[in-house]
Amino acid sequence: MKKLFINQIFFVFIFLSVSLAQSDFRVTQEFKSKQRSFEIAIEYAKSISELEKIKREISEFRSEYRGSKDLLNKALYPENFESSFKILEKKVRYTNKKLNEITTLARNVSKLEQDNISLTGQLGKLTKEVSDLRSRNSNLMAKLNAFKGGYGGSRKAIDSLNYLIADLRSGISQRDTLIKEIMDNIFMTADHRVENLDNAQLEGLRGKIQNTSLIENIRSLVDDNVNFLNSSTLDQKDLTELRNEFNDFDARWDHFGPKLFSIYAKDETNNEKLLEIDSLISGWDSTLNVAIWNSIHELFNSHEINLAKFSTGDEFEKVAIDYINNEINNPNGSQEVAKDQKYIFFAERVWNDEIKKNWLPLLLTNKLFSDEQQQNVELKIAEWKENVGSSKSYLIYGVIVLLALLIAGSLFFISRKNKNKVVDNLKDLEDEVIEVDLKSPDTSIDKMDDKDV
Amino acid sequence: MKKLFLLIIISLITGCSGIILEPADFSWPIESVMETNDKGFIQDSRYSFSVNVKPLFFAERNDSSSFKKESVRVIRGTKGYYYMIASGFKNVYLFNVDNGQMLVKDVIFVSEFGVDLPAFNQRNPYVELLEGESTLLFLNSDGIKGKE
Repeated sequence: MKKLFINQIFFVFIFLSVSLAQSDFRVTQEFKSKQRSFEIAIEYAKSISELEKIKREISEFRSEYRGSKDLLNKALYPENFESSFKILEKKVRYTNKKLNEITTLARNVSKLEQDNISLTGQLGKLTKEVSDLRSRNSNLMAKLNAFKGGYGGSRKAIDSLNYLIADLRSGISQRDTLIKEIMDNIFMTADHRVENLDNAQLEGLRGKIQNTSLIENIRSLVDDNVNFLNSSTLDQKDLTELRNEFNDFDARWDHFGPKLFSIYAKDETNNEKLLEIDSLISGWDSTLNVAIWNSIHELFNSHEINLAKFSTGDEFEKVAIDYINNEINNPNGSQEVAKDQKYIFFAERVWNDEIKKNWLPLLLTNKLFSDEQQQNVELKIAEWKENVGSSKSYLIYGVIVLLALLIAGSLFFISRKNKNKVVDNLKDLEDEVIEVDLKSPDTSIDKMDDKDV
Repeated sequence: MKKLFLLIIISLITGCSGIILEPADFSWPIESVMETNDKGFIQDSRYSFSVNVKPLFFAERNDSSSFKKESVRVIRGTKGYYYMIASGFKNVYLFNVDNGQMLVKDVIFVSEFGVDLPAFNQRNPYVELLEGESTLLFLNSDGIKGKE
């Protein structure tokens, strides 16, 4: 009876819930399906706000299935209702962390993009300025060459020429600085190895290089500098500056050149251009050295010291030593006074006042001349000084002896002349005394006393 | 003496009859829905069993090839019987396991027109049969216990 009653209650309950009848399997599948959907949604969430929305939906999802917890605890084996939500929570936490990182990175990327836009703008501006300076420098170079052709030598003409050279030099320097800035800007974002850049990044770099005509600008930079060096005789100050500029550019080329070669590894045309630039840079270095040696040679010439041509430190050392040896070992060549003058011009005016003071720092710093070579030349100068010094002392002794003889002779002559005069005076006096004695002895004595007085 | 002999025999028979573990509940919390493969087998990964269901489809449809691309829904009741049905079946089949085989214990008629969207729920001590979202029957090893 009791069992029948329980059965009746069971069926009443079941029939009341007929409209809610649902397959447990379907409930479980739907739960799993929704859980999977949430996992995917979490994985693909693009922002923190989107993730927050998903978290709210998960909370609703949990409430929705709370009634089926018992069923799901069994059906989801080996998982259960709670562990399924823990998995989702774990995924939310992980994605949240990743999104925070992505947000930070996105901020950085945004900043870099802005920097890039700004740099691109700067590059455009620099490229235009370089172009303007290039044409201005070309005009100046043409003027300089024309001017040198008709160079008359008047003060006014020299001033104009110097002004033109200074202007051109400043123009080239400004243009070089701009090109260096362009190089820095282009490669600022490519500090890492070019081999590691992807195709898009490489294309970006190629675009910038092309838009700024970088390769052509570098070529023109080297060409103009070489032409300028060939067209002008420059002083030590100018050449020191030019050497520093070359060193600066050369260091940059050492850094950026390999990157450019990597970028254009498969581009035969550009690769050839780069090889040409590489060789032009070597030429620039040599031209600069030759210009320095030429200016030093000119310095000696201006003091009427005619040295043979030299274009290296070794040659300079040899030419200088040969010249001094020639001066020392050629007794019949020059007169003593001229020899002294040559020594003074060479050793004091040129070597000590100019070479040692102004040029040697440039030569030594750039390893064009060594300390040992300097020492060798100075030893030779010392030897020359000794040689010049001994001949001078003989001359002085000679002059002194001569002067002494002259003085002695003069004294003898004067003293002899004075002696004769006294004798003559005494004779005249004796004659006068005799004459007085003959006429009146008293008067003559008085006269004699007056004369004595 | 005769009585004593009988007592000894009875006690020996009782001792050799095996161990009985009870009560036992073999019910699955949820049905398994398994697709037939090309050879007519269904396989369950959670309960780790597989069985050839070609004879089941043949019994239901008189067609030995009608098992292809079909799903079989299986649930195990409290007493350990397996309830099986597939879409379009008119009957629910009850099987018992015996010596590496599944032997039909009962065939419960459900509908003349067949059940298009069948599903089992475990409702101890019964097994609920649904058609879509409607309850059709409550079954146990003795047959139908309730009907909508």
